[in-house]
Amino acid sequence: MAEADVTSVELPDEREATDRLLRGLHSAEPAAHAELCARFGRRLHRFAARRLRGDAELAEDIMVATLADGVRNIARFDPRRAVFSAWLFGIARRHVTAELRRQSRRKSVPASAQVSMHSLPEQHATGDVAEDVTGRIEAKRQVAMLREHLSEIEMEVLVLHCVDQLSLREIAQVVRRSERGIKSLLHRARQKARERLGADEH
Amino acid sequence: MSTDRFDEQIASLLDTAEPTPELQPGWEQRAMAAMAAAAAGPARRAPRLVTVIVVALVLMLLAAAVFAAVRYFLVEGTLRFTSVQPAGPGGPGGEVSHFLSQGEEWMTSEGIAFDADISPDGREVAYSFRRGDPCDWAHIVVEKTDRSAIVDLSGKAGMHGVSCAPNWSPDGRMISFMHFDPTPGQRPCNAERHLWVMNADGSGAHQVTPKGSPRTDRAHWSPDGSRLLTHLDGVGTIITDIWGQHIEVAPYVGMNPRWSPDGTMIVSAHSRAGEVDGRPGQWHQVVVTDGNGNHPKVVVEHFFAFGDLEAGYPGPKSGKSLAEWVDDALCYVGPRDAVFSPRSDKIAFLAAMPYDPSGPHFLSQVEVWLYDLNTDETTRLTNDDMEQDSLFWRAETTDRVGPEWEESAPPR
Repeated sequence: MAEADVTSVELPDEREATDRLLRGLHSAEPAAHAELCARFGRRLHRFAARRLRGDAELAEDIMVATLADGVRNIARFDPRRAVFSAWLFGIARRHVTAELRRQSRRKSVPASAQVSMHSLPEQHATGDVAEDVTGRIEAKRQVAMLREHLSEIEMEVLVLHCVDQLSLREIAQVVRRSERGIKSLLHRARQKARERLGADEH
Repeated sequence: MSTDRFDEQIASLLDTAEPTPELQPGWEQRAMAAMAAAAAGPARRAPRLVTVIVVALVLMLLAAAVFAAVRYFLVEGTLRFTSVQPAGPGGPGGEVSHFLSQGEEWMTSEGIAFDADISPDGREVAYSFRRGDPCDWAHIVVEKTDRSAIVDLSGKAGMHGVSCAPNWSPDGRMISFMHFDPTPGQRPCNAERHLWVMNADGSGAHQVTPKGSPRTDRAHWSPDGSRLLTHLDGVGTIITDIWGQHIEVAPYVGMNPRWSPDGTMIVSAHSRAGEVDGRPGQWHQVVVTDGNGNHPKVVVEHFFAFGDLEAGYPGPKSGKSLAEWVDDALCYVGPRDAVFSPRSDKIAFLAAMPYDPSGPHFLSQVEVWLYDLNTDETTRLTNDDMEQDSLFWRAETTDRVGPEWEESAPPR
């Protein structure tokens, strides 16, 4: 099935806004900094928080560092080679990767030692708070199941597309792969996710 | 389902499972300041490959030298536990060693002190204090361990009702505790207990678990003092900040959770019904997760057949019915009470593995075990007829160790 990538094309208005933002960043205008913050602050925070297991403070540090790096290195951004948002998300991804590497050096449970959730006891909940929490536990279980069956890159592409709303072109630039490869990865990720979630319902 | 709708379903699933945390107030100002500073400074230049290689080699040599030097000074610490000689025909039994531990009570001239916890610097002890039954009044009290001063924190905070299970924060500046206002005729164990935190001087007392939430249990501080682990009835284990603003469910964290000293792991006990070779029973597990309660790993697992536990029933002379005996045995045979070593690389726990129905009382079969996270090896440390309890691991490298209280010298 052909899957349209509706967000892959930057609209003329958006392009013009981005060009204006880039001009402002090149001349270090505070208004451009404010716009950069408004357009990308929350998105970058969400991007980082999801990869850092909800650590809001660390995600904020990474968001701020990404925006500062973006401003500091704006002269190195080449609009002919990359989409601006993808360039920023690429910086954030490098910060997150470095942080995760730092964390992995500290002692933690090795990924290879993770066990299936089915070997752990089920937890039942009651009451309003419990109902809300039960929903979250169930969602966590399903997401963990997806992470178990999708490769790391398939899961990342799926999240970048569905949650971070990045286009195929942007994703390709963020994860440094070809756009064609990303399209194929996304297709495979959707297929596996459908199968797993479908099987889980039955 | 269309691709778009499926993508929305995936986004919704991920948002529910991993909700985006709120940004702290003032984040925009912080970002603006960082960007202004970045714009004022020079752009960073990518280091040349040769420079990177030379720096990496120098760092590796330096790290090897430091590791070789430091390794000599690392001390594992000492595992301490209470070992009790059970009463028998030869004598009344007696305590071999004794430490102030949770769950103990002392009768005092004025009332009962219980749930004691020694401050990290060992200079104070916080405990709950009540005047007999019915338990409709209990205060958190802090007393100098040299008995030079005593402060009624609950009274100072103007709190009524029952406050119990105090726990010092790792820096000794705050105390978490459970609190409830008993209603007439209600048993304390059925009351809506909530988790509270206050400063060690009794100021700033506030409720952590939300109003209307299920009953909570004793809390455990994260080593950095920023989070608390506790259990909510019907929900499971939760991890919360001290204000109760960010509460996360930790479904893989079971009973008696403990953080590792470096804060990167949590160990807890799980149990589930099962059957082996047609024999019904219970699987008991020690499970380690990361510091956020994710990525579970079962490090120790043992199956206890109900038949074996029933076969060990000494009869009505034990003062218990068969069902009560089995329930008690399931609570005690472990693996349970797991604690991390000071270097967070080993876990000590108590267990009667395997349980021998023809052997002595199940309590006497409980031994101290050690699990090594680096080698995955499990070793039995004790093998005697003593009753082991209250595991406590202290680092020899620190002098911040609480005093050892003898039973002959209770706090009051």
